[in-house]
Amino acid sequence: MNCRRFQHRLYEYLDGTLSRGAQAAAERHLSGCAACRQALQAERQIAQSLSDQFRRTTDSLQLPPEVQRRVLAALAEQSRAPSEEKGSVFAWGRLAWPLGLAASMSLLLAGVFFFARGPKWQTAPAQPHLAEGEVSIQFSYVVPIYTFRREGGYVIDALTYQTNVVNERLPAQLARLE
Amino acid sequence: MDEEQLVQGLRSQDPRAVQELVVSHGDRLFRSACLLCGDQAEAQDLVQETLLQAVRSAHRFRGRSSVYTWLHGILLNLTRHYHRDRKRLVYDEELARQEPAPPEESPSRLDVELTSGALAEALARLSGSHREVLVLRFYEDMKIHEIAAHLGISNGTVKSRLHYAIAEMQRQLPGELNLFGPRGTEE
Repeated sequence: MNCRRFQHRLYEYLDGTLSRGAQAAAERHLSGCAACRQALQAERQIAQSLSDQFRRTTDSLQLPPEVQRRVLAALAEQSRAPSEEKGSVFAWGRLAWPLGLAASMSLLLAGVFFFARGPKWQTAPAQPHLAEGEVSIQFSYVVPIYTFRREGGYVIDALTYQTNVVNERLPAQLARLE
Repeated sequence: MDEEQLVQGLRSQDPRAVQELVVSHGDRLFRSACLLCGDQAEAQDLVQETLLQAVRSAHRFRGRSSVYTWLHGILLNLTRHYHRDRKRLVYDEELARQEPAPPEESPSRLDVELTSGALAEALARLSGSHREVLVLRFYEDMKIHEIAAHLGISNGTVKSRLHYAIAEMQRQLPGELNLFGPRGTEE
């Protein structure tokens, strides 16, 4: 084993995860190489320093007890309303509106496209007085609604969905999408 | 309660199991989260969300790792999501200058605070992937192959990230703190 090979396996040597043969070769190399002994010593010192510093920085930190209460409250709320998926501030708080908007836009475009193209859906017999070339569309879309409410000392967040139905007429130009 | 009983309890959302989960792993997870995100309030939110997700997905836990490792994996994913939406924390020299002088304390206590502050600042300036490997290696005491499995990357990538992360820490930390001492011979 040469210096380059030893230093490539330095971490595994420190971890004690080298094979028996590789371990023996590393020991033989170390016994005759001051530079690699120094590199090994430096890595040990770095590990010790960082490990000590991380612990010293965080040892006094404790998870506040209210976290446990909040977790239990969220789970209790979920079990009371199993059909209502409970989201989190992290995920749904950020995603609800963009997702809702994206879903609405997609559905709107899809609705316009298919209603304009498909003769079966293009006209709505229940709505008379369509001008020449005008089309009537009806489509539904789902909007996720993210809500918060205070319950005792906690804020409970919930994600619900509202289905909206739209009836609309579109001008003749949009009917010529194809 | 052993780990199997704990997971069984979590699957049925037994409050005693949730309490046991928090007591057994809450503090350690919180400390790791503080190192990963650099802010106690955010770390608290991250751990709360980790615990909730763990209970909700306990039915998918197959016992191939320890419960703590599983929890930490959830925490890492949440932390990455959190970091995607935020700029990294940058130490504000101007703000630091405006801070009032600390009260009189023993020199050893001040030394500890000075070192910890510098360490936190240096960590905050690292990229998320470099901070992850440092925390996993030197706080979670994971071996190279364990970090690789935890992050889903190769051993070589872990070693490369560690190398650069340590070099960056050495560059960031004030020389007088002398955390590392003289570095050994480079390749």
